[in-house]
Amino acid sequence: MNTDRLIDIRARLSLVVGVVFIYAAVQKIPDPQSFVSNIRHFKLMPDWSLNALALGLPWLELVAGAMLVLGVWVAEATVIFLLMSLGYIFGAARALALGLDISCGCFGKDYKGSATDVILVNAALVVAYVLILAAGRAVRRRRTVRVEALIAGSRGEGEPQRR
Amino acid sequence: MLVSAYRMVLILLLSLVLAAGYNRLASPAPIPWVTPPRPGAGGASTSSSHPSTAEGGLTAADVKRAIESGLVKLVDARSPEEFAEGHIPGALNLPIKQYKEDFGLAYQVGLRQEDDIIVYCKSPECDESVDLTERLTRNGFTKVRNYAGGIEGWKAAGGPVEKP
Repeated sequence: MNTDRLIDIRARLSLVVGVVFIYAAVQKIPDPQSFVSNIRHFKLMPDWSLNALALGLPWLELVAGAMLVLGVWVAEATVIFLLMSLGYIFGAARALALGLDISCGCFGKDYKGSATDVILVNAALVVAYVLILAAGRAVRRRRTVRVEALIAGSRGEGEPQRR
Repeated sequence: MLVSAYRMVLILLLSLVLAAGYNRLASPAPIPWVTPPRPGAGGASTSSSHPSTAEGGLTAADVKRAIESGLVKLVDARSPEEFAEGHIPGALNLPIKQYKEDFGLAYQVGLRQEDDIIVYCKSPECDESVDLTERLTRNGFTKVRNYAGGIEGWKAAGGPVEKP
């Protein structure tokens, strides 16, 4: 696959993931109390921390999502989302194992996603993150190889003079 | 792969600053950053080996006295199916899941904002009564308390159970 194609795939995936998270954040930001209730049902985090999570996580989704859409610090934003999704998957799997009745509230109070939905959605997102990171790495490696070839080429031109 | 921890920290800090600013200046529903102790503190922090009591909260005896006074409205926050299996005598059923979708339901079941209300659910481990207490309080019901022991704590304390 050529470099342009990889850049295109990376940009499209980043755009989709970014828009999904911006939408999710915009749904949650105006009503943090509902998100507190949703997080509480997971029984994963200490009670005192729930408000801070409900206030901070949607803004983290918004800022990192905007960076993916704008193509700024894509790798960093993707890693942040990867860590968040792994956390959500762990929390949902634990809730399933304990038989907890959860509603993820991932897309606001009107979204009634179950623990299984949380796992499936985030598993799909993890695949997208890996592709974004892998494409970025491949693009960077090819550029590095190209630059090294150019440098080597310019050195090669100078060889006859040294002789 | 080049991922800068420094940039990740910056993203995190920017998010926190925006969250704090919005919560302080523009949010229609600002909340404190540290979650205050829950009303009738129960939930996972309450020992289930003493289901009739809640640490620092209402006990089954308190609920019994409240019922006898006739001045308190008891509210069962569980589903209609659970309510039908047995509830504290005289309790009204206001399922939290339905109340979240229709705030008018509180008035339909007979609650008024000035009422003295005690909410309960299944046991110290359930969250419905905590959620309902918070929601009712936010919606203008000023005297709402949570009986964290729930129907299990009530039964363990020898309280009678009513079935429709």
